[in-house]
Amino acid sequence: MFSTPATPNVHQLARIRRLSRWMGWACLALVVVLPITLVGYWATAEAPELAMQGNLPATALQAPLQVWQRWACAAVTAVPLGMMLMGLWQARRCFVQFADGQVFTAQATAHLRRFATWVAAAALGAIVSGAITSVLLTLHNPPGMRHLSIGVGSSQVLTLFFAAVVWLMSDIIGQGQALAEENDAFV
Amino acid sequence: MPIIVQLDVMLARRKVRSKELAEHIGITEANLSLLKQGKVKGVRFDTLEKICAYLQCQPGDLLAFSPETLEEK
Repeated sequence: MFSTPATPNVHQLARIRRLSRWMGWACLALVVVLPITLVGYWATAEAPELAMQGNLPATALQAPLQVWQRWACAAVTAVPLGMMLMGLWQARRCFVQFADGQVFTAQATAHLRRFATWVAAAALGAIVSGAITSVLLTLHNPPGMRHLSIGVGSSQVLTLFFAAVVWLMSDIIGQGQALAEENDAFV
Repeated sequence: MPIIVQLDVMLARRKVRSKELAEHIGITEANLSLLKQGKVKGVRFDTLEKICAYLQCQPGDLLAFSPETLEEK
């Protein structure tokens, strides 16, 4: 049985545009708030809590944390966060296009693909930054008590899975874009 | 393209202006111009139906197949 393509629903498109506008603003808010939160976190959090960032048990830090260690760890964890922010920026640009009603465009597909790439990079970067953070946090521990901890958590695996799904969705939108272009060539 | 659009001939026969037809069938004059020049990938049945109804003609009066063009290709 053949099925004809659905007629574009005006109300649905209006909802997509409205929601995309909000999502675009949400992305912008996250781009601003997340770096401030990161700096605040490394400046104020207690040592046992910070140990978790390096995949370490709370008791692993046996020497008081020095200020330079906090800032070095903040700088290291800022790398995957920066990648995530780049992804969020791409997502924002994509949402801005959707809000303008440009749903099936090559640019929107490219932004979505870049978003997926940055999110995947951030997930992999978080594994590396976690390992470096563990070294930095335990650098003042007595010899034999320093750690290099490499951990792959469910959050990283889920983030990679999410990135793969978004990548696939961008490919599907690319197919939709080709169909929309073909449809435009019909009168 | 071996399919020749003869809409301009039919418009002339019926003494109908492009603008008038475009307004009736609900497409832009620019799109109708592309259709007249055969520069579109296809025509929707819906559009064809409206053109035929307005110009009182058959789809075959609007389209022709030219094998010579196919050979040239």
